[in-house]
Order: sequence, then structure tokens, then C-alpha cells
Amino acid sequence: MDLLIARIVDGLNNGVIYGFLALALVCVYRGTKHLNLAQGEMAMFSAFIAYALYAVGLPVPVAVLGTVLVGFLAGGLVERVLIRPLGHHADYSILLVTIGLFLVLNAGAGVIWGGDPLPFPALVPSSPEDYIAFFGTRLRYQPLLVLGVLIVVMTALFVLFKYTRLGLAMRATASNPESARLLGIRVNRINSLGWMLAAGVGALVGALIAPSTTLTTGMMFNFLIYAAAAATLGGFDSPGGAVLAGILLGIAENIIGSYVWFVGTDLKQAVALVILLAVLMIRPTGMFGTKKVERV
Amino acid sequence: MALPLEIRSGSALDRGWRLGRAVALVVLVVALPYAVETFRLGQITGALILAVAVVGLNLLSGFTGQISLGHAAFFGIGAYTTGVMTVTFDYGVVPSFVVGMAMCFVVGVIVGLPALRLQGMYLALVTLAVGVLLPSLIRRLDGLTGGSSGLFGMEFEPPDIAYFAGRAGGAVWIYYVTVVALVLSCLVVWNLMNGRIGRAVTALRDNEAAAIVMGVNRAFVRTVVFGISAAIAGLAGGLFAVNSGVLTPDAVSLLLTINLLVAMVLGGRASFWGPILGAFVIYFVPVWTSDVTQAPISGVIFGALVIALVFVLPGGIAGGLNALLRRVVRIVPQPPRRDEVTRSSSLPDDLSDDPVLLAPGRTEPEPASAARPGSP
Repeated sequence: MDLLIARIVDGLNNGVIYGFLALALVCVYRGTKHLNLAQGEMAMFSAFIAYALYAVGLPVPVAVLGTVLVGFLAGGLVERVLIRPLGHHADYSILLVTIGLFLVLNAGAGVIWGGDPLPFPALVPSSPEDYIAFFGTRLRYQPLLVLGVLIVVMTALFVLFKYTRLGLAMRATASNPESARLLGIRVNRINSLGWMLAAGVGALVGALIAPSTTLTTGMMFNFLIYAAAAATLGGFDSPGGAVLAGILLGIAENIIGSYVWFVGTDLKQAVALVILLAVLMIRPTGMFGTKKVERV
Repeated sequence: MALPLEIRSGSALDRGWRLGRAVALVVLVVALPYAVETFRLGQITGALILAVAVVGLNLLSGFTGQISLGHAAFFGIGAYTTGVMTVTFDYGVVPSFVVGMAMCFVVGVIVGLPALRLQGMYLALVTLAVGVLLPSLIRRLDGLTGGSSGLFGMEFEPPDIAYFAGRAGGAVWIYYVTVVALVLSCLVVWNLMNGRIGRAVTALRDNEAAAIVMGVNRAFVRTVVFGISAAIAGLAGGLFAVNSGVLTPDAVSLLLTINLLVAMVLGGRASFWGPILGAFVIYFVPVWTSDVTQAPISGVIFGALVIALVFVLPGGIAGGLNALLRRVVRIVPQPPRRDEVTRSSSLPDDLSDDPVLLAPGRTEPEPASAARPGSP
């Protein structure tokens, strides 16, 4: 029993990261219906910026907030300069631009900060003795912090989407850009805001998980794949669904990886993708996505 | 001399121009092994193998408009089938190619099944899942595939004639095999796209509901196209296995899928020459950038180049070259014979030279429809 709880907690650690990054993907997707393949690399780059801010002498929390601000602005800049000029329906061009951005950021971080992992200071005590005992397992502060921030961010986004005028405009833009434009909503600005939020959330993830993954150029690559899976599972337009799906994926892959002999560690992460396939076969819009009704 | 030069479609000049292009291409293909050194020929073969895979991807993602983020998996299935069959079980290379393609076709059809219900990013994510699954599966089944340390020793023995003797001869042999495979793949794709299935595919891409109402069998068309696309990628994988002689899970990772996609879009999707041009760019640009600069910088340059090309050449390289060519040479449709015109219509004489009104069939392709994005 204790082992089971330990495994759930382990899975939760990863699941929270999947869900967090999935939240960023959803912010972009809701507005523009595009998957930003560079989302993970933007988060990684932001984490390096946080490191640079910390290295010039700023306290860690300020460095983290600073990189969120930088990410927020950079996200808007990317949307304005690289995405918007391509138009709304240029699916392939936008996919390709995000791939290009992926390559530039990944290699660029290597150029600036080198290929060796950098130690990133933790916000909370994280020496081996710092933990909360919980049913015989150890809850560490670092994942708890990530989980706590995730819940705060998710709630903030939920309130923003659901209860503000801006959120209403965002939902209108997501469901029908043409009508929204006719109603006087600045659709371009809304999409820009989606990218800014996504990049800000991504920057937060990067800086928060850097202490546990160590800071390398490849730190986000696997997370991005599973975040995309989580976003798909949750339904690409549902922030809460994406977070929940991310957490469930993390737990499920860890449990199945531990108890099914064939899976082991090699196929552990593949489990998440098999779950994705299975769910999409039954519910093509994910668990919480809204079904798109088409009028002919 | 005023440009563009106008050539009447079907005239002797037009036929000469077509024939000239075809002859030039054949001469280029045949002369290449003599013109370049063995090392360079090996690189060209590598680019051609990539081109085969991109031709397969183009069939699915270019013409059908379904984004696939998992074509490296089909490439990998083809490669590992060939590898395991030739090395472990000692089968011939050609039968292994055939079995590999058949397996890819079956897996492609199975992956294509959810494609019937899924659209856009959801489908892309399913293919991404398959693409990420395969490398882990290869690592897990290490008894069969060699796992992370790789599979070695694939080779394609050239036939026992003097022309293909020695190490250089072996390179020439695999080059010709690849050329034949590429030509066959292009023929399959082109015939498919210019026939009944092609029209069904285009109709489905541009307006799915209308196409179904008109009697297009969506399930059949989508899954078969997915299967054939996968089989062509599998053939490329088989060629890759015998050409490189080494297979590792990393060779068929997501990075390969990204390269294939970039090659397809850069070359010009839904075009004939695009995949081949794109494959050469994607193969040789990293080679050159890493010649000029150090490793991380070359990655930045490559990424920036990808972004720049999207903005500079939205129709891909093939689209750009076509536009350039049209400034120099223009093929204009043949006007119908005068007696046909007077018999079939009562249009005034001064319109009889207007190619749009009276052309029996427009010969210029319509770039607008080829550049249309996939279904929303």
C-alpha cells in the first residue's frame, strides 16, 4: 500500500509538469487552433533567462517573476512578427515556423549557455532531509510548490476566461473569429494575448521545474510530447481538462510502468500515448473538449 | 527579346522543351556516378532516400491535408523489418523490402482508422503518439532489434557484374536502386493523384461534406491513402537500412519526422518536384552549415533558414522555381482550329485568340488550389 502511494506521488510529480505545459499549449490553441511545437523550447529558454537574472545577483523569486514577464512580452512579439503575418489558415506554414523557432531556441540556448547542465537554485528547501512524511512516503517541497502554483495559475485562467469581459472576448474569438470580429472584438489582439499568456505560463513552468530537472537545452523535449498528449486528452480547449489529463497521465504511466512486467521503464512513457490513442478512439474530442458541430 | 517567351502548348517547340527536360534529367541521373566522387555519391543517395520518404509523406500530408507527425515510425518499421529479416533471419533484401512495405501498409491503415473520426491537431497528435512509440518499442524489444546499441550489418550485395565491383561500385549500385525506388514511388503517387482516388482526395480536402454527398467513400480513400503513404515511407526506411548498414532507435526519432515535414513544406507540398528538392535541401543544408560554423550555431542558422523560407517562398522551392520559370518561358494553350470555332459557337472573331474563353482545356496548373491549406 505504501509502495502504491509512493508510486502515485512519483507519477504526480511528472503529471503536474505535463499538465502545466499543457495549460500553455491550450492558451495558444484556444485562440488560433495551432499547436505551438516550440512551446517547450520557449519554456526552456525562459528558464535560462531566469538563470541569467539570478546569476547577475537578483534573488530567485524576482528572477522567476522577471522571466515570466520576459516570456509574456516575447510571446506577444513572436505572435506579432512570426505568426500573424502568415494568416489564420496557414496551418503548415505556422507549424513550420514553430519548428524553426524550436530549432533556433534549442541551438541558441546551447550557443549562449553551453551544452552542460547548469544548477538552478530552488525556491524551497530541497535537501534530502526536507520532506513531509505522508503515509510512509516523502512529499518533497519542490513538486508541492509546482502543484500549488499550477492550481493558482489554473484558477486564475479559469476566472479570466469565465468571468471577465476579456475572457468573454477570448471565448468568442475561439468559437468563431469571424463573428467575433464583426462584434468589434480585436481578434488579433486576443490571439496575441493567447500567445503571451502561453509564453508566460511556459516561462513559469521552466523556471519552476529547472531545479529538479537541472537546466539543459533538452529539458523540455519529452515534457512537450506528453503535454501535447495531455492537452489532447483533456480536450484542446479546456484548461482544467488539460491539467487533470496531465496529472492522470503522469500517475497512470508510473503505475502501469511499475506493475505490468512487459512495460518496464523503456515503455513507461509509451503508456501515456497508448492511453491517448484509446481515448481518442472513443471520444475524438478528448475527455472534456467541446464537440464541434458542423453546419453544411 | 521580350520575356516571357511564349510557347504554344502542343507545338513542336513545346514538345521539344518537354523532351529536352526529360533527356536532361536522364543524362543527369546517369552521369552523376561518373561526375562525383564516391563519398559525395553516398550523400546524394542519402538525400534521395530521404526524398522517397518525403514523397510518401507528401501523398498523405500534402495532397490529403492530414498532418502526420509520425512518418518516422513508418520509416522505422520499414528499416527495422529489412534489418531484422536480412541480418537475423538471412532473407534477401528485396523480399525484406516487400514485407516491410506490407507491414507499413497494414500499420498505416490501422493508424488511418482513427483519422476517420479525428481532424486537425487531434489527428496530428495520434500520429505523433505512433512516432514516439516506435523508438521506445525498439528499445524494449532489444532481443530482436538490438535495442539502444543498434542493429548492424545490413547490406545490399550488388549483382555480380564488373560495373558494380568494388566499394565504389557498391555505392553506384545502391544509388541506382534508390533512383529506381524514387521513380516508382513518384509514379505511384502521380498516377494515384491524377486518377479517381486523387480527385476524391482533393474533394475531401477542400470540402469534406460535399465530397461525401457526391458519393466519395471517405473511409476507403482515407485509409488506403494512409496505407500507401506509409508503405512508401517504409520503402525509404528499407533503403536507409541497407545504405547506412547501422540502425539505432535515434535514427527514427521525432527529429526525422520533423526533417521530413520541413522538407515537404520547403520543397512545396502537393507538388511533384517539391519533395525531391526539399529532401536535398534538408540533407545538404545542415552539412554545409556545419562545414562553415560550429555545431550549435549551425542549428540556429538552420532554424532561421526554415523560418525565412516560409516567409520568402510560401509555395515552397518548387513554387518559387515555377514562378521564376514562368517569367522566362510561358506555355500558352493552343487556340482551337478556326473551323471548330465557327462551327461550335457564334463568338465574334476577335475573341478567337483568347485562351481563356476558347481553350479546350487549360494547361496551366492552378497554383491557388495547390496552395490551399487542408480542411480547417
